[in-house]
Amino acid sequence: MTDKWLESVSALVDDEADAAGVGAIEALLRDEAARRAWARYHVISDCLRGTLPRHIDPGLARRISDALRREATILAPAQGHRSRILKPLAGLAVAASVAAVAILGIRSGEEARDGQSQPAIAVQTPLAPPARTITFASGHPGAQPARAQTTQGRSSARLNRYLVNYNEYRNNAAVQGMIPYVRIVAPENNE
Amino acid sequence: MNRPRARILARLFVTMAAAAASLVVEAQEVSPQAQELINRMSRAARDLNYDGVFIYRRSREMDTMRLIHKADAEGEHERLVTLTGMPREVIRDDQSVTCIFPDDQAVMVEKSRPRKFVAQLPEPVERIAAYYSFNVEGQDRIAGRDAWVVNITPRDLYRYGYQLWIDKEHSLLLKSELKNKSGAPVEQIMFTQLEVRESIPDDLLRPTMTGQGYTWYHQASAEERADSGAGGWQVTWMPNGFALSNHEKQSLVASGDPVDHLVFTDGLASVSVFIEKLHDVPQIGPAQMGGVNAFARFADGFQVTAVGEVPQSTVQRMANSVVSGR
Repeated sequence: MTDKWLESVSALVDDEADAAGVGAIEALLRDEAARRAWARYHVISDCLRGTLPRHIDPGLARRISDALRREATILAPAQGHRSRILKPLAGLAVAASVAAVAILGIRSGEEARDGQSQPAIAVQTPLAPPARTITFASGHPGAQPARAQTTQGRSSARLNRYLVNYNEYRNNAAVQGMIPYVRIVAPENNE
Repeated sequence: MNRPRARILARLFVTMAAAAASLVVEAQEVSPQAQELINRMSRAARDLNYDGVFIYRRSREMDTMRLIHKADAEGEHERLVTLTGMPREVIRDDQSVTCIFPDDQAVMVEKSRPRKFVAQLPEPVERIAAYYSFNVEGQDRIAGRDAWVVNITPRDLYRYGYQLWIDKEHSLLLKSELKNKSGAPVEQIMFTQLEVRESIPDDLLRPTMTGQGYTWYHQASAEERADSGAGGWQVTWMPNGFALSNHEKQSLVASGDPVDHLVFTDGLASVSVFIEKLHDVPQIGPAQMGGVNAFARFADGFQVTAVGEVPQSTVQRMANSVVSGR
């Protein structure tokens, strides 16, 4: 942390930042020393203006940051939107230290989570993994087809015929009627 | 009275009060017996006019379909249409089942079996209860309708379990899950919309495709076989509780070759074994279509295929156990 950076941070606090201010913001985003300087300068600034509150809580920003990190799952927007929201915010010269830390808080929350699996909000029961896929070899569908058909089409014709007959004879009061026919009209597994 | 005893008495009183309270709650809406609910559902599916849209989910795929059902003096008329992917259709009445596959340019017509012959639960209750347990798990809401949730759990690994959501008002099936041994669903069906109607216009039961220019496959005839000895084929292994319920010999128009169709059931699940003489390349190995598993093998010039709503290992063992008694 050089004096030059401290000057930039100071200028930012005083709302007098020029082009160098962008560098100061970047320093704030990654440098703990810069963030401490940012907080100190605000206290000095408030003191000079006589707007210092009766009680100062130097740990406030840290606690808010920690709280945000703990709640990051809820607060953090979806992956695709995150960067778009963060970038314009970081680009603005936000003069409130709490806001700056809050953004950092969300970001560090994300980084901490990145290595792990994302906690799902709505957990869906996964279906059982598919059994071996259809491996029926070719066959003819009984009646000679009028045109050449693919092997897949011909073998599934026989299986479909079996399925229709199976459906008609199933002695299953539980799931009856047309519903079993879903297995015939549903598109085949393409795996 | 010393303190511990007072505490025990107090606890007992609380327990009794809770029990009494739960009795009061149950008295408000007594859940019917699981088997009675299943019987009602089976009758409702056959007797009512309805039109609904449901989601069909298996392995990693999901599709939406529409089901239209009409019951009149002539019997049942049904139409099932896929709303996602290729527009396939099944039209069924008391005479035939017609499946239209525009992607294969094929129409398949098979004989249907009137639903009235289908056995209802409890057929022999004791027989089914030996292999499955039934219970009403609770209540839920599906497609905006209140439903009872019924569990049918197999007692061994040879069968699948079922969870059924049955509409309280009309007794129609609103949702169903077929479950494997670890309780994970292998197949799910869930209505998102279901209307019970006074009448169904005939337009809704007509196929949108004529099948013109398609290849038509017809089942020529089917004759009932007297007993299991017919054809000389025997299935020598099946899970406990399974028994032969039907044996039919079907023939096909072009080849004229007969197909032996043996149906085995434990009263709830069923497995069909098809045996036909083969003139070309045999089909061998397992196949899966949602909750239905199949296993095919080639034996002495015959194609043997077991098909059923049971785990793959069950159809495989049954297919492998088929022997020719000749």
